[in-house]
Amino acid sequence: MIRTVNLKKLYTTDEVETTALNNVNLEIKEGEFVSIMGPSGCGKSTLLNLLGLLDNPSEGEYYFMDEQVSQYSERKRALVRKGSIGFVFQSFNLIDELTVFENVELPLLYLGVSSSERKKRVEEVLEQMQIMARRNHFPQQLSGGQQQRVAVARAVVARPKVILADEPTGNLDSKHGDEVMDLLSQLNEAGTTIVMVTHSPAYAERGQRIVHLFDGHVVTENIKEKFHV
Amino acid sequence: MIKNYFKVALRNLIRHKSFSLINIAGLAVGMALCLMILVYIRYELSYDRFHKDADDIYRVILENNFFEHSDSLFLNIAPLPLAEAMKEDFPEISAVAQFGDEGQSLIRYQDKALFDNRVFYVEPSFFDVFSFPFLAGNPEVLEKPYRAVITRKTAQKIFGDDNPIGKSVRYGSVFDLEISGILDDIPINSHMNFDFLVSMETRRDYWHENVTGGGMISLRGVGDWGILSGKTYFKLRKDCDFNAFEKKFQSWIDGKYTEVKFMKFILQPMTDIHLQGRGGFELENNSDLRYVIFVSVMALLILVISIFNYMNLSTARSTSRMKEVGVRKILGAKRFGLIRQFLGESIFLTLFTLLLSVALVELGLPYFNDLVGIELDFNPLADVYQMSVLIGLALVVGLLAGVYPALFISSYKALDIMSGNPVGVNRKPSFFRNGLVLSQNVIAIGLIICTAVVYQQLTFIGGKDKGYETKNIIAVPARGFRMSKDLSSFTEKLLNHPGILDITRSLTYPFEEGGGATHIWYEGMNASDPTPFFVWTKVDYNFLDFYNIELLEGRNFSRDFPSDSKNAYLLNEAALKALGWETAVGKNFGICERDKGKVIGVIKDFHFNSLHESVQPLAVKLSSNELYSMSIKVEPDNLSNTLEYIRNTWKECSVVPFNYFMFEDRIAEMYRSEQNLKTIFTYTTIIALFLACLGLLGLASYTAERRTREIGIRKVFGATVTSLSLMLSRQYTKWVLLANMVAWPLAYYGMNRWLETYSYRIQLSWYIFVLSGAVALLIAVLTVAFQSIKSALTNPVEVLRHE
Repeated sequence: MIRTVNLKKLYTTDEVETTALNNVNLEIKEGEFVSIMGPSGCGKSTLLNLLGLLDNPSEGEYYFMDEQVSQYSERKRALVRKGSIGFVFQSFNLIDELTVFENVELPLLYLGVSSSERKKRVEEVLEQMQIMARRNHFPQQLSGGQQQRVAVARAVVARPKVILADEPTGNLDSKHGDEVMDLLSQLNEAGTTIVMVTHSPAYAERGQRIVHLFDGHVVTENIKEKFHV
Repeated sequence: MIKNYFKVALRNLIRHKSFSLINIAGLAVGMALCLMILVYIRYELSYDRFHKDADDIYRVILENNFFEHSDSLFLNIAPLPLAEAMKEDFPEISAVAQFGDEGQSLIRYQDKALFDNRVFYVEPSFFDVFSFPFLAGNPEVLEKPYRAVITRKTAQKIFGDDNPIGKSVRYGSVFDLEISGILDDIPINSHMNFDFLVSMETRRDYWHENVTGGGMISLRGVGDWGILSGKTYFKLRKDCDFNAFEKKFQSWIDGKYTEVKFMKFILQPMTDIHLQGRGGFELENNSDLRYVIFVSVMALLILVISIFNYMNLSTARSTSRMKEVGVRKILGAKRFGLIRQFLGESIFLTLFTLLLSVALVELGLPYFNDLVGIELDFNPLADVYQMSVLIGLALVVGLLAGVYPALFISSYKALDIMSGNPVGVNRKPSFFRNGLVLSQNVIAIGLIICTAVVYQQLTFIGGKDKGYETKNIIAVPARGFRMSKDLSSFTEKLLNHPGILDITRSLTYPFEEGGGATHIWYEGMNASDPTPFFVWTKVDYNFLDFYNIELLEGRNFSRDFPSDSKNAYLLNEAALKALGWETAVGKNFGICERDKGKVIGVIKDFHFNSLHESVQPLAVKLSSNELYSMSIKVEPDNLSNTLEYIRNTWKECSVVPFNYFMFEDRIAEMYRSEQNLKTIFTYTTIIALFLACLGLLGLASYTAERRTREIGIRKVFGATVTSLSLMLSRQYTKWVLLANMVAWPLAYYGMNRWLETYSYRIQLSWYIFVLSGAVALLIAVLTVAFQSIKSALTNPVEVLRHE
């Protein structure tokens, strides 16, 4: 599903060149739950951005669903992104002016899904995330955990092949963090591929595999036999 | 998706209430003012367009250059045979109208006697050129003598609800007229206004002469073509090219005037008359194209300021919508979609604002009408033009105001936004925003300077010594006395009243263009010399004393010299200059050959015409006849009592109704265009300043919000409230200072050019510039100071806790 070959990302400011990622080779199969760990500044988020097609690598190849996408234009990347990839952020990134329902509905709008179908699917996923009762609330009226559940709902509503989660529990207390992790595990069990960046070893353990990054390199991969067939 | 955009737009407006308020209020006020000015401009441009084929109608005017040293004298008058000859010789012409303006005339009906009836003598062909629709009757009724057509308003005034057709009225005390037709009322945007149209046949039959009425000038040695009388208008056929026709006309008319070299014929489109009318014997006081251009520019500037405000505030605020843009981009929004979203939002807001500004116009128009003294109508629902202007305005403003924020917001990469610190997010637009703030201030300061200069100049013109007394004078047109002894007894009785100081009479008032222009005769003139024109008038003995007109040389008219009543003349300075005379007293002079006499004195120039033009040569003659213009000088206290006394005395002595006006009011009326301009300028500048301040206020609060963290950190490390307030205020005041540097030379250049168009003008003084800059700076400081102090007072703990 995801395969990178010698992926490299350089950031160049006026005079300094920083290597954020160096020769990253990674393969993620369909249905896998992979956790990415490492100290601050090791390139976790950069890797996730590349995997999520938010950015292009400086060098190397990136195969997404067997397609070489590393040099796609912004326009083409946007096309691949919508529908195939769902995002969950540490800071939720909900649109403050839209209600819970409308926030979750947004990806379907961009996919051109019909109004009745949208309603059905949004309600389904809100039900699944247990926030149906809050459907007409605005993000500011919700707790952090609830907001993140809305964000997860938004990430899955378009039924993407893969969900990329960037420290989804970073802004949450342990109770809410657990709830969100349970949601992600459930989704994975239902077949969705999940790539998650986290600082928490406990939550990383939920994945079948933990990739450790240090200074832009993959240092270890702990493969755990936890496939659910 | 549109619904989604709409929801977000609306909720954004509500969430940022103060921001939205500033944005919408600024734009609404700007658009409302712009709309009002557009309505005004349209009114000014609409003059005479109600005539069918208005663009094909022209008039003939004369430009006379008798004297090398004087400005040309324009006369709205034409040779008597011109109309007939043009009709015969030019197949390009479809109709010609020749008519005479008799001015206000006395009309009696039963026991009513009404003075304020403007009478024109016309041929039936008048209606081939002009479109004044008949409510009853038709043009043919004017083929017969002693027939008249009146307007609906006049019919109402004289006959009330009775049917006027077939009824007779008495014209002065000379003949009866049968009312044979009724016209619809004349639109207010007409350069000609009349109450009575009397058939030209009446004049021919009664006076046994062919002249059109309304004054006459005769030139020597040109036969019938030397008789200048009446106005000549004509209509060209649709397929005729005016320029070609004009060339043909000029060579044709040159053939008629081989002898006369000083006279030039000008063909002027009728639709130009109101804004580009020229001097002498106009049918109405005209406006001025310069003023229309002026207010158009002002409307545009106001609109520019409001659009800049909008762009500025939207761009500033756009950073708070970065997250939304980022999320949308990640979810697959394309850049074009985002541009469409933000442009749409801008247009939506403009349309909403438009409704508000329409309401403002509805509320404000009556005041605006009061200010400029005309009746403007604003009803976009019933007026396609106004409706399309409205929608066009909203679209243009919405697009202009939204395009930069839309391009700017949509240009960031999703990743940059989501990483929390987009590269250059704050740098580029702040350069752009500062540019906008600078331009706004340049406009505002420029407007303050221009207003100050225009105000000074127009006040100068309005208050300039016109060369004669204007204060505390009641003017009473003194016609309608049966016997001259009635008039004497009237004046005697008046002078007995303690509130009445003096009375004089003359043929015309000093602010009128004399009794007409007439050709003169003077010492040393050769038979082959052109016959030059002078404006002339007839006066009473005390005319100079009454009006405080200064005598420069010689003596005034005096009862000690009985010959004065026959052949003595006073000339003004302009007359001497025109004749090239050093001194005039004792020289032979006459306003025509049979009126030959001697010049007994020279008077200082006084402005009997508008101050836009220089003073023309004037000859003054003593008379006891035809002194219809009576002026009464009164004590300013108890004016109403004095007026009541005059009214009652008039009733005892005269059979016609009393009619009067205050001298100063009439003069103010002559400068109404200037007064209007002054008013419009002042209000526009106040609004421009208000808008510019609103923009500054919005930006200041935005900056303060964005810099709260910086302010917190500075405070932790020891910054005082004063130093922080100064730091925040300085950011904007520096742009105001810079704006001065740009605005001064621009305003200086523009105002100098404008002043050059006046014969009498003020000098530009440096203090206007410095003061205008200071005012703008002061207002800017006051505007941002409040916000700056407020943010400087914030508790740093509050701010930094959120980090």
